[in-house]
Amino acid sequence: MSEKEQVYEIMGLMNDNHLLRGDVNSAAHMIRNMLSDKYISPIQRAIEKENKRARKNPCKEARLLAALKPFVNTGNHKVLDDTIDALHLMETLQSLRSHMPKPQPAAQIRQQAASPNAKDPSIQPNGIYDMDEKCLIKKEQNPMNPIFMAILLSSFARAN
Amino acid sequence: MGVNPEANLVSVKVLDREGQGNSSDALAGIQWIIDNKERFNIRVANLSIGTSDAGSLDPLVRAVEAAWDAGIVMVIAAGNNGPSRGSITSPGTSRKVITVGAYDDGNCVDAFGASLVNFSGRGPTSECVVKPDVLATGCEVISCLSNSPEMSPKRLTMLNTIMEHYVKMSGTSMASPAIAGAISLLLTQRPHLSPNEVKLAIKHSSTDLFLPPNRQGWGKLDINALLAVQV
Repeated sequence: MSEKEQVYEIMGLMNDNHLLRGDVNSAAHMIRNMLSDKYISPIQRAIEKENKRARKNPCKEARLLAALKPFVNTGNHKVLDDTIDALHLMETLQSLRSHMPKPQPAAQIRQQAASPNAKDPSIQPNGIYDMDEKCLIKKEQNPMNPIFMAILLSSFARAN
Repeated sequence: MGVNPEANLVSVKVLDREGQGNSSDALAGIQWIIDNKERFNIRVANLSIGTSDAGSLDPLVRAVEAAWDAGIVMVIAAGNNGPSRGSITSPGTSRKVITVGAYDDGNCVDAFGASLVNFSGRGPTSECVVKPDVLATGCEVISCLSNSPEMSPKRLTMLNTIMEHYVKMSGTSMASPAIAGAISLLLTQRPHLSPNEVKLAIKHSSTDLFLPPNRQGWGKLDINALLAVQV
């Protein structure tokens, strides 16, 4: 290819960002799919599993509300259904939280360190290690990862 | 050469010729160590491997803790994803094991052909455990070069070989074997010590470098102090 033709080709590529846009969109799509498969889908599956379990074995409050439905004005059925769904959501949340490892409360650690009987604050019931108190306090204030909550709520919104 | 030249070594290969591997192979390797600890008198194991922190339910974490509970002192590299907070790799995130960082990571200029500064992983873990536990030198450590025909030519060209049989490398993968060697010296002197007692001895014989806990743990290990400490 002559030099002139090469220059025209390069200029053409620089001016025509249609191809580039397409490539960037494809790359973004691949990254989105990878993140979804690796991080979001497992969380969604766990939420759906717990949600199904909660619906299959509803709490007594949800069962009571469901039993009341035939005796209530049909106009109010939606209110009952929404309340039952909210109860299922709480059940699902509680069940998911129970599966998560619980950090030792920061206050307990401070107490252990201050105790006159504490030989060494690193000596814990399940090993020798130190805990990061600031990290624990932050976790106590925000027990559930906000991304996890967002996925949980959006799953419920879609299901309803 | 090495911290304990008299130690007997049992090598368990879990990575491929590029230094990559699967968790399943690492798990099989750890299981093999547990199954053969009596046969080969395995008292301490070094794992210079790492993957992303997935908490204490991670199978690798559970495996190294099982080995710890079986009486094997597990020494694990903190990983080279520093200096970001929370960059300790699994299974170094296990609260039980001894996780080793590099105290001299600000000095290195070459690790596997790339410039790395401040690479040593920092805590805390996703479960708020302070890590690493202790520091050792991880910058341009000289050791023996593997003569395995398995090593790929690409990997060989990346290594800083010295006099044909030695190699200079940097990383927390080089720091953790030094601690494992020190522990093997301690256990030679005092074979009755449990893994928890060994870890406590490490704590009480580390020099405070006055760095944040999630950077240094208990500090830089003083081997002479380790051999003299009472637990």
